[in-house]
Amino acid sequence: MALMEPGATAALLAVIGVLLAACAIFTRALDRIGVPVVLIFLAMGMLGGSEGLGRIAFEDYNIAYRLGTIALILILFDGGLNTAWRSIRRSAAPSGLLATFGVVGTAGLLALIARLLGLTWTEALLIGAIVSSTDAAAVFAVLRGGSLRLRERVRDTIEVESCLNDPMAVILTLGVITAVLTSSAASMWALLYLVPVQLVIGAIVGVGVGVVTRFILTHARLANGGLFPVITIAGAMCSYGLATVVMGSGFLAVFVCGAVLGNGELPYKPGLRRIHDAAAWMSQVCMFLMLGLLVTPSQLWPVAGVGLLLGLALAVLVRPVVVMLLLAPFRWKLRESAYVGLVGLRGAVPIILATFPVMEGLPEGNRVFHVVFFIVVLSALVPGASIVPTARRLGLTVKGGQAPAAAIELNSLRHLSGDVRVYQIDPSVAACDAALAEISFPPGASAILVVRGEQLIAARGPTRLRAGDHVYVFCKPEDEPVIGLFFGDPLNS
Amino acid sequence: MQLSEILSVECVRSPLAGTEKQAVIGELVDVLTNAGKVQDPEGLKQAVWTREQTRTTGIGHGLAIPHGKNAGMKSLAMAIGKPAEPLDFEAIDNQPVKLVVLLASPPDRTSDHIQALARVSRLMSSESFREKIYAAETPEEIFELVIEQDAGR
Repeated sequence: MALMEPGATAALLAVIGVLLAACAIFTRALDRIGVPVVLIFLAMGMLGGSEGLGRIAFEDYNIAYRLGTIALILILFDGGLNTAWRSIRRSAAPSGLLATFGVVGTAGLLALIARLLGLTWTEALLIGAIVSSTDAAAVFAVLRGGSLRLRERVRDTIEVESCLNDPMAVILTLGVITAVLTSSAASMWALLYLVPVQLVIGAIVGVGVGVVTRFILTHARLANGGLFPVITIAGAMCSYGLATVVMGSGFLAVFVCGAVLGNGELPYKPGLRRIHDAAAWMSQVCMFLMLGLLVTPSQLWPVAGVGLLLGLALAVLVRPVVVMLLLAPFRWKLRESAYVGLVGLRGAVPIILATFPVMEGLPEGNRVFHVVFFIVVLSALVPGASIVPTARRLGLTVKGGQAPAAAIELNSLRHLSGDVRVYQIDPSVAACDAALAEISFPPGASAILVVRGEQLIAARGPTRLRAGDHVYVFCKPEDEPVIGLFFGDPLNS
Repeated sequence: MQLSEILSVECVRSPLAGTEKQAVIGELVDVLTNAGKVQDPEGLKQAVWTREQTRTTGIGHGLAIPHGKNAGMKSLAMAIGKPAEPLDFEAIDNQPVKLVVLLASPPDRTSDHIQALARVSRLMSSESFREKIYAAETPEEIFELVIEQDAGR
């Protein structure tokens, strides 16, 4: 029965609203048992889809592509906003290698296995290319969402790789499609030559747009805090658009633009972070809901066997092997590189890329899309459930870093010099067991609040700091090194 | 408290033999141990290294102040080492470290411990003093410069 407007829109929104809320509510329970939350979004999407309860017939791959691109821009921008230069610099070599040769290696090896499983070369190459990159949003959700604190170089490499490797997967996928459409492999190799060029252009555009966006944010004297995220979202979209138009990697540009903004002084920064965090989550939810709506369960069964096998092969064989080979020159401990190999979460990018062949009208498109579905689900399930316990077992976690029961932050529409930092007191730091009056704060700095478990304690002279306390300290940026010498690493840097 | 109370010239070593963070920390703990100031060198090394893991004590401008508390310490003690070549300490400004100041304290002397840390970092905040001390070669020169500058404040 076809509904008339406005009833149709109203019904659609009501169903989507219920799905979204249900997804969000389920995340906590799933997080506890280690199943990536994205999967529940996917299940909800299928439930709402054409063969599920919702009966929403959504088959428009063009719209899916556009929505997916927007979602990915918001996710990557948030990733950049929350990635410190220090992390990027420290992991540039290993993650750069993984994001380029690692992606090619993964795509090639998986394509070979797919061919051995009886798929045609076109299908095999498409699938390999489409699922070759790890997913920033899924990685950030797992590595930053829960209680897990990984060793720095392992965490930095996994995170930065996930942000850098999408361009390569995009290029590979477009390369295969072009090769199939023109029946010549030459065009694919020609595209590969463009990779470095695309990355360089993307990075340059990202820096440029980031600098301009920051200039606008600090100088435009906006009247209302609500306008700040409008400017940052504009920056994110411009960086993608401009970079893509001038033949650069748009996704890299977005990430770099976010990193430029996140690593500099910015008015209204805590507010912006929170808004982009929400936007990234929302994008993630929408991506997987949309994937759920797009797949047709009855078309999944014929490819279930091959899809499951490929998903497993990718998670436990292809990625670990490729990663460990590429990380060998860095002389990491074996368990460290093995762990990077295990955490190969796939997510939004394969979904977007899987719409490419369908949009281009390739006859294999639909089948490929459904195989990709299995691979994404499996590579979220297998590593997803094992990431936290494996990290503990391999001894790759570091202690510390719980969020305090209450938070203070400074939100200002102008850039003001000074910030509130929160430190969790480790037993090893000098300030542990000291009374606040004994701590020689620089002249412009002061402790303002102590949070001990569920208790809020006024920061007075006699207040003695205990291990595990969270201390809020107000200080000028130039005094932070000395404060950090007493207190350790701030949770909000 | 003045730094002259906790630093003696035999606890200054220049150049250091170690070329890497953990080795240098171990070397400076050994310097204090040889001067009779440390009863539990392994425990102290462990404490300083644990503190180093929470956040680097390379606080920028070529200075690192690794520190730790250990029950085997009778009183606050300080050692200074100058690496033969600037050293990678994963400092917050990513610059190599030219001077390493180790501070070790008994667990119940938190106030003095923090004061000493603050004193050392304040001492080194003067650019002209940094230039002088990074140019100094012998332990005696380094010792004199620190004591003189600290007394003048």
